[in-house]
Amino acid sequence: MSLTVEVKNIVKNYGDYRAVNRVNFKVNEGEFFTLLGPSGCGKTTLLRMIAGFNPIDEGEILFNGEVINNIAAYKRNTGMVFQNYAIFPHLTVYENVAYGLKARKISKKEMKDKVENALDMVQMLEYKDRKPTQLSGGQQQRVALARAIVIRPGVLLMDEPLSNLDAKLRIQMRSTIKKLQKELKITTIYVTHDQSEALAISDRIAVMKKGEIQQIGKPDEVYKHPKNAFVANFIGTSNFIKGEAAEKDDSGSTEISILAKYKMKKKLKRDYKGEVKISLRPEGIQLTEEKKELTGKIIIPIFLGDSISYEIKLTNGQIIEVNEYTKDTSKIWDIGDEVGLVFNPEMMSIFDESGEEALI
Amino acid sequence: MSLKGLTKERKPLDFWNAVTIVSLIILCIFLVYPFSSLIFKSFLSKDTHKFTFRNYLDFFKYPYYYKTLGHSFAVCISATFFATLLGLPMAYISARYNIWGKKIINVLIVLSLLSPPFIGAYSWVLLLGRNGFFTKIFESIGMNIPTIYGFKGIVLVFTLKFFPYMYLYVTGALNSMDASLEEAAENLGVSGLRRAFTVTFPLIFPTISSAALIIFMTSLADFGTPMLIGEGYKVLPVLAYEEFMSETGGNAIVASTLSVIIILCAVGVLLLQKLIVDKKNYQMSSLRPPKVKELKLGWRIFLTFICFFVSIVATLPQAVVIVTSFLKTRGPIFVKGFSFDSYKMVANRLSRTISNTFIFSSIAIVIMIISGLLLSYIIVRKKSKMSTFLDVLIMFPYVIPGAVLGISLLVSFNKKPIILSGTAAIMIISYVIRKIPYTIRSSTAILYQIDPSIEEASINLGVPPMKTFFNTTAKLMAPGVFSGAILSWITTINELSSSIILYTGKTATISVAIYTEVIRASFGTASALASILTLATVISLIVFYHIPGTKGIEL
Repeated sequence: MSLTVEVKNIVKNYGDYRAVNRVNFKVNEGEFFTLLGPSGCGKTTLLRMIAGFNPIDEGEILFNGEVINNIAAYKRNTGMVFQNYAIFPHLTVYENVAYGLKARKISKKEMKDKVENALDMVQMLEYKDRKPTQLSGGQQQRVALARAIVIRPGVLLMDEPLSNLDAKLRIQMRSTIKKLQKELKITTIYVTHDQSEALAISDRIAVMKKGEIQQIGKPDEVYKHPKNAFVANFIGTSNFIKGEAAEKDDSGSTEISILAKYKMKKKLKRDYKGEVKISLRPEGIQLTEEKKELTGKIIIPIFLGDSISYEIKLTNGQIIEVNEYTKDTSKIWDIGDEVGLVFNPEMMSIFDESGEEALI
Repeated sequence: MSLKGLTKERKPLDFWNAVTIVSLIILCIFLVYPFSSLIFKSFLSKDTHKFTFRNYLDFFKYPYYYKTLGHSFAVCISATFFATLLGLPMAYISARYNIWGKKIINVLIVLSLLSPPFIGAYSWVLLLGRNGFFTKIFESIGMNIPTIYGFKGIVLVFTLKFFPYMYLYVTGALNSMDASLEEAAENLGVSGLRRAFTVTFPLIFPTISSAALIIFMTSLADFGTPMLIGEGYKVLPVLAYEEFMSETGGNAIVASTLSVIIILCAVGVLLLQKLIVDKKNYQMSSLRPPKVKELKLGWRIFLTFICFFVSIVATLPQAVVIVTSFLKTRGPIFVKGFSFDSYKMVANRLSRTISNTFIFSSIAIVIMIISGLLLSYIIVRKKSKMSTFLDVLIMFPYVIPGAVLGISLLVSFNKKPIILSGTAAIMIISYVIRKIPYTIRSSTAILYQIDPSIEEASINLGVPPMKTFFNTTAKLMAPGVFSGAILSWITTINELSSSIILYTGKTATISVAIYTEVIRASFGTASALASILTLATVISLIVFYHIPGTKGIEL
């Protein structure tokens, strides 16, 4: 029932501006695939090309191996959930969900069963006779979801569906969406600019920037092994520190020094000498009493409950962010305290000077 | 976000392109061609029919001509000034203070708008004219009141007739202002009148100026009032009408020149207003409605009295017309007692004008609703150079006085290849062209509020684009289309200035009949007809307010 979606060399131009530039990926049957990127990166344009609302300038889109470039939007059997829900304001909840089924000519009985089943799945059955104006944002969102899945689409397309909800509801809805998707095994393409949402909900993530895909991978892959500085910065929080790579030694390792004090040996993917860009996750830095190599001064501690976040000034004046989990530490540092810094090599990425290439 | 996807199925000629092209052709025939020939004619020599600037030079040479331009501006500026002076404070009082009977005041003010201005003129003649009701009362106690005829009369009628525009526009704006702005002023120590002049009025200046523009334009375009009450004081449209009538059979060259001058004035004023307002448009987000201030009893009584006084005076013409229609008459003279004579006369002699009015207007409004629906969709959703051009063409008649439109249509279609003069068709065409801007404006306004993703959602769910338009978009647009259409309808059934030029005996409408009856001093039948017209207008409004989903008239 569900489809594979293949995007091959897709290009979209708006005048001189290239919104999508030679994008390639394949979404597997039943997979939850997310297009993640800052606004203007072309992710929504791409989604709308798959839905059929934006013409394709170059390249091909295939559903189950068949090119669908020239199939009209209304014949593609995709279920789309819009950012602003796009609930028909003149129809009741029930009529909204039944809308797509009416175009498919099925029996009254079957329609009623399907609509009620879909509404039940999103816990909206009791609201079926309400008008959309009587619903909250979260409830409208559920109706939009029911309306999209009731037609059993080959692929479910979601365009920033949670961006208009408040923080708590967003977290609640994302687990609703994920459970539903797994239950129905619908191939899903999800667009968002919220990296934590993408990490939480996806099977795989494609990180986009300026119309191009930077990295495709599982959430933990893109988090732990970002392919470039942009991905490292965009996914999670990163402290970027300059380092210096020395000549490769006999064992094949390269010594990398930070602020001329902190030194470590790393096996690099290729020979590289000179300045490097090091990305350190805030939770990958440990604060110690002992001030051995690198030290810093606490500017401000912020207590967040499960963790404590510090802003720390390094000796070269750079300010970095460090997180310590409350369960791992008994000490809360105070403003002005001098601390030693120890880096966890697992939570570190090293890039070339431009940040374009990962060296480990 | 581009909507190009909606037209993705590339057919050689899709539905919307076809509608665009057909509309452009129709507009070219009935709008561009008439106005081009009008302009063309204005440059023809009266004697040799060769190209000349003579007509324009003549206009500015002879006082008989150029004085009317001065008159028109004097009348329009004064009327706009006094109408603002009346409408603005009243709106402020009713929006910000707890005077009594606001609903009644609103109803009275809307009622006063509901008839063509010349009926107001004629009512004031009945009240303050040479043999007027009040004139006689004052005479009997030895007082002479100033004459109602000429400049003062025209300004009086226009002021009372058009201040409701200012009142309605401004109350709307005042009520949708966010309370915090005025509270901020108060918090900074500025209150009362000073606050109104430093914060409130500057903020709603765009609204005030569009109301002023409407008042100016309708005063400039109105032809019936100065005709009835102006006597020697001639304004441009009256001159154009007279010249046109005296040139009939001839070639309407002077009338064309005058028409072009009127259009230039109208366009000039419109551009001036746009220029001023464009720099002063503020985006305001309205969260909390403004507070209504409690007045002390004395002030409350005083302000309530003022508002009621003004609204009653404004509604007086309607009352006069209705009362007069039931008076006994003998020929042109009223005698004591009440009767249905005037209505019987109307039924005998003038019933055709009633059926004409409603048949023509009904056909026109059906055309306006259908084209309003389709054209506004093209203007909003199918943006292109063609659709922008279409938009400009459609809105152009908004600034054209009816008399000018009538003249241009008659000049163009009284000879081959298309002969329409004297037909019902030419009347209907002029109604559609002149009144469709109301429907289009209100339809585009609602369409801008409908999120394009609603249509995309429908297409995405498997409903083809055309079916989506008729099943979903059109239904969502209906309230906006209807609120524009009701204005088009009301102004169409009350239309005088183009009808008076285009009608023949067979195609006369109620307005035309009222006018001709007034000219023949047959006041009883004129009043009966005017009452019928008012009743029709009121019924239309009541029906409109009972259509589900409609919210109100978009001015």
